[in-house]
Amino acid sequence: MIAPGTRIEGFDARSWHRLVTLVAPGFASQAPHARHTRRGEPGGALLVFFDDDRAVCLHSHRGALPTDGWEGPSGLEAFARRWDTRFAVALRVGAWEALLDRVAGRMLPGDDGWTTLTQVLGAARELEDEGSLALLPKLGAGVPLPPTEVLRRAWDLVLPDGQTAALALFDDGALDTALVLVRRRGRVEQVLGPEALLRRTGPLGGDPRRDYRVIHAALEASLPPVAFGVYASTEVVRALLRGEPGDWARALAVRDVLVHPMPPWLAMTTGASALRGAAVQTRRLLGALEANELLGPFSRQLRGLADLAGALDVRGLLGFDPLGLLASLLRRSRSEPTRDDPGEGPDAPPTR
Amino acid sequence: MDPLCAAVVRLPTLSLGRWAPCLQALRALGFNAVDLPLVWRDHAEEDGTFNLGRGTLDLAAMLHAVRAAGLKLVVRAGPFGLPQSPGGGVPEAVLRDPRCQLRTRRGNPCLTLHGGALVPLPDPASEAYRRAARSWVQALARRLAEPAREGLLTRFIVGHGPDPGLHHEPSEASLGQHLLESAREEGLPESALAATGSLLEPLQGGVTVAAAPPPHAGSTALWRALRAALARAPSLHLDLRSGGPVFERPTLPAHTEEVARLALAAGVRSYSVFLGCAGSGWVGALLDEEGSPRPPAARWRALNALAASLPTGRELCVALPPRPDRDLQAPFGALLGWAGLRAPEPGGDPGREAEGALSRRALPWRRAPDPEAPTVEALEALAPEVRPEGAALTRVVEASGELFLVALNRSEGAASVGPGPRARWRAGGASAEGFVTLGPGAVGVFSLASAEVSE
Repeated sequence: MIAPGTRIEGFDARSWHRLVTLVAPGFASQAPHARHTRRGEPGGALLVFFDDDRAVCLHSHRGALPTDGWEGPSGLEAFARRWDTRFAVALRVGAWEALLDRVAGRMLPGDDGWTTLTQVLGAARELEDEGSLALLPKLGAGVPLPPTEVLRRAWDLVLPDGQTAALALFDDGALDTALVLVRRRGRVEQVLGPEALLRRTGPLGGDPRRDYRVIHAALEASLPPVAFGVYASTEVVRALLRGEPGDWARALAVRDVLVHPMPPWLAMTTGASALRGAAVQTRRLLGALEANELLGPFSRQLRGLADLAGALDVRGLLGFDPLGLLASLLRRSRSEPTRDDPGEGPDAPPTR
Repeated sequence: MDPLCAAVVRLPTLSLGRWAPCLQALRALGFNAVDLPLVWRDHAEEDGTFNLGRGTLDLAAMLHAVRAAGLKLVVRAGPFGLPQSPGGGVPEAVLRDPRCQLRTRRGNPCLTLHGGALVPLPDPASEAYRRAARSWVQALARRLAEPAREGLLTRFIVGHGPDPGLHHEPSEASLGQHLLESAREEGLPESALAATGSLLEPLQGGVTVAAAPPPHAGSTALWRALRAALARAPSLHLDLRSGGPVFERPTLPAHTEEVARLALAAGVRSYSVFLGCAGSGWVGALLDEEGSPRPPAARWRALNALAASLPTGRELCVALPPRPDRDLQAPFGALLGWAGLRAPEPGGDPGREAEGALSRRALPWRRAPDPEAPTVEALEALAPEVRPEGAALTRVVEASGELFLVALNRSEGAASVGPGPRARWRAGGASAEGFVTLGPGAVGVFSLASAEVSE
């Protein structure tokens, strides 16, 4: 996991912005002069502070909002819908302090990032159960949090110690952004961006189907062995991150996304994803056929098979489904990343 | 007086061979100073002494490199708050010492998210923490007394940096004064002493070092906060940004540059740009790891030139907003108020208030705190016409006996600026209606003639 001592190299502000907004478009940089135009845009995030008899409601685009429709944390979803927002947090007064208090009381010196993360999530879940905290979307409601050991094992499986992982995204015939993680001594020791990658590879052609071999060879020559590398166009990955089960498998099959080398966990994940996609389609079809009673008793057996296939996913392997979680969040987001730097500002002041 | 344009460089994170080329490259970009954050944690030894003389931590070598590059020096002593430094820059032994920790009401350590990890906050009021921080600041100040006398050191900054969780604590300001006192005792001149604070609460006396709000705060809130802060503390030193720490919202270069342009137009004359050269947990520094300027660096050369070209002198009118804090904290001002950090204002919409304040009617120009300042009526006569209304932010300054109107177009389209009802442009070039056009984001400096004001 990235720690304060991790060396981060080779990102300019633009390439870092592209990488972050790929998975978190709501964090896109906003120009100072554009603040007033954002007030009318849909989306954004809602923050409600409440106690028994009053509430304060703030919206990331619109500022303070009236709270006349507020009916308590159980009505957060309806309240957020009223303000055209799909992301919301409601906190009882004092809950934030209680959260930090609980985390501080449980942390030990030397706890790693995974332990801290599970402790924060655990304390947040407790507050949610007590009615002091409500989140929208409801993340994993009713599902137990994965223990730290599961997260750590999943991380070990994805990027073993002493290995490297690479992501290179292309756009307009050039390297758009990149992320190379080097794991040593149990933590991510180096994070490299596109500048650092290009220093190792030299100029690239801009086509992931050809450039992936050059990048792989350059990384293998200067860094620990590459566990896996993902090469694609930015637009393809952006669409896949919001996609349906099976899209990743399809993209791999038609070489819209290249993975080299292909790690076993990813092969299983994408295979299961394809199977799950097929299962979703089968269940839809069966639903229609059952409604018309066309298949009779045979339909129950078919449905059982489809359900089994649908359950075979990455959750069984890692303990949770990170891509599924991300896709569900991104599908809700209406924010689009600020794709381009608005360009150069005025160079010299006009002087009278 | 020339503006102080500094670029922040963490020399200890660079190899010795890169120091000189990096400093030269920054000088070529128009910076006249280098801002060195010296991290307590990096220099602290286990026996309580400080390593200021070995390898890349050699302070004398740093001073030599800065002197050789022909730059002035700004030193940040901390002791807490450098965003990309583990533990905020405080040694682990101090952070973990229960006597130094800020505690919750239940007695647990107060944690803050710093550099992607939860870090126990030090208690600015704790005697043990003050003693430890004081020894670090004194050790540095002792070594910097001579460079200060020869004019190399222009700022010696202490304090907890831009962490908003700390700046509302009265004990934080008191810690800053405590540490400045120890630097003073070691012989640092008064003019060099500075402490970190916030735009909302600049220090009374001394130089306040405050972080510029992020671009998404909005140009109106930024302008009003800066104008209010400069009216209270004219020697304000502002921390601007190129890029940012990885655990914060990313910003595009054009947006951080817009903040910088706005700050300069508002009258900021002393600033540091985080970060001049890559080499630690920061993305988007002006120079890459090889010391080569990235594309946005060229635009900072233009910004540094703009800083040098803007007139300085007596501010004839200060547009003091009634509550700058509400604009700056929007949309979370009310939230912070309720949390007890600031008195809440009933009703209203901070965002809308800020927008409304753009019109001349909603934001009356107030008399400057100067007995010889012109009357309010005279100042209103100077207030320019802006078309469309609110498209440009303006101020008037008197320099070398001349009046200058400084205008910043904050809109996406062209903005036209005309002199106030009883003022006129001093030189030709204006259109028939007396309006001049500014492109989006442009800063204009116009010479004014106004017999009425000087009466």
